[in-house]
Amino acid sequence: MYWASLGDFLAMGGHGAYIWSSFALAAIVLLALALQSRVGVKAAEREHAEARQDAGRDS
Amino acid sequence: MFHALANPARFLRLMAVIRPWAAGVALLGLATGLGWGLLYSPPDYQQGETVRIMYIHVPSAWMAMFIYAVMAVASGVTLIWRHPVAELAAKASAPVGAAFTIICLVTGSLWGKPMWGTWWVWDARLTSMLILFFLYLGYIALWEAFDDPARAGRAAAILALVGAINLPIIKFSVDWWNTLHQPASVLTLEGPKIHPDILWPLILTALGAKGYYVWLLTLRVRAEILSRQARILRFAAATDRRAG
Repeated sequence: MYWASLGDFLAMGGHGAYIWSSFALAAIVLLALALQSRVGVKAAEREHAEARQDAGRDS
Repeated sequence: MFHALANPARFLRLMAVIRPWAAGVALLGLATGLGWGLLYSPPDYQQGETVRIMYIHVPSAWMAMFIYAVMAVASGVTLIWRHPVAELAAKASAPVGAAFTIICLVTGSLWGKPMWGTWWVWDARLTSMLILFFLYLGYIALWEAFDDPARAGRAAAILALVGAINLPIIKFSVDWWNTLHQPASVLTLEGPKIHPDILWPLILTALGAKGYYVWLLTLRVRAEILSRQARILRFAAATDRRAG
């Protein structure tokens, strides 16, 4: 491992704020997108099931 | 193969099969790539630790461009062959591409501030990437701009194809113009110019990002297909009610 201590790892040679902000931004955006996609699929599945039920009722 | 994929039911089954594998590639690639990059790879002799931002910034840039290329190809397939799923794949991809572009731009600023002394500069690489972001937004907006989804899809497909000219501009911007952004160091005619200790975590992270995109697509295209089918069913039911 390159780092001597957790403190060194977090400080990142004084540039920790820039580096950790970058990683945090990526994590937040990609997790939010994943969540939104999963919610979207569930909604579409529900919509599809309801539409099939309605179509079945009328025919 | 494309004709087989035009059948939505078959496509949905294929998505379901691919999904866990894509998730696996995503988790493995991102964990090993970023873990290696953060914990084991060396700092740069000039840039120090900030070079680690590269493991987010560069794969995001590659994804931003790769996803747009996928959208452009899918749009071409849509316009030429009226392939129903290609259009939905492009539509589903756009927000993902936009997300990676934003990550690339912001992490680039976070890297530029300590290294260049500025958050932004209007050089060719940064400007063309910003244009890519606007193209993504425009594409997404076009889908919402029309009541008729068929017209929306066609307009969006044309924008995607026209905007594709931006991709070689982005790639060669650092060669064609004087840019603050550094020149190509991975995909060059002489091969990669980066040390393997840094190149390998980069490649692994990039592979993980691709897996993540494919995983997301399996979810998002499924949602688009089911939504569209629901709309068709509702329309057919409404027509039957009016006729009967």
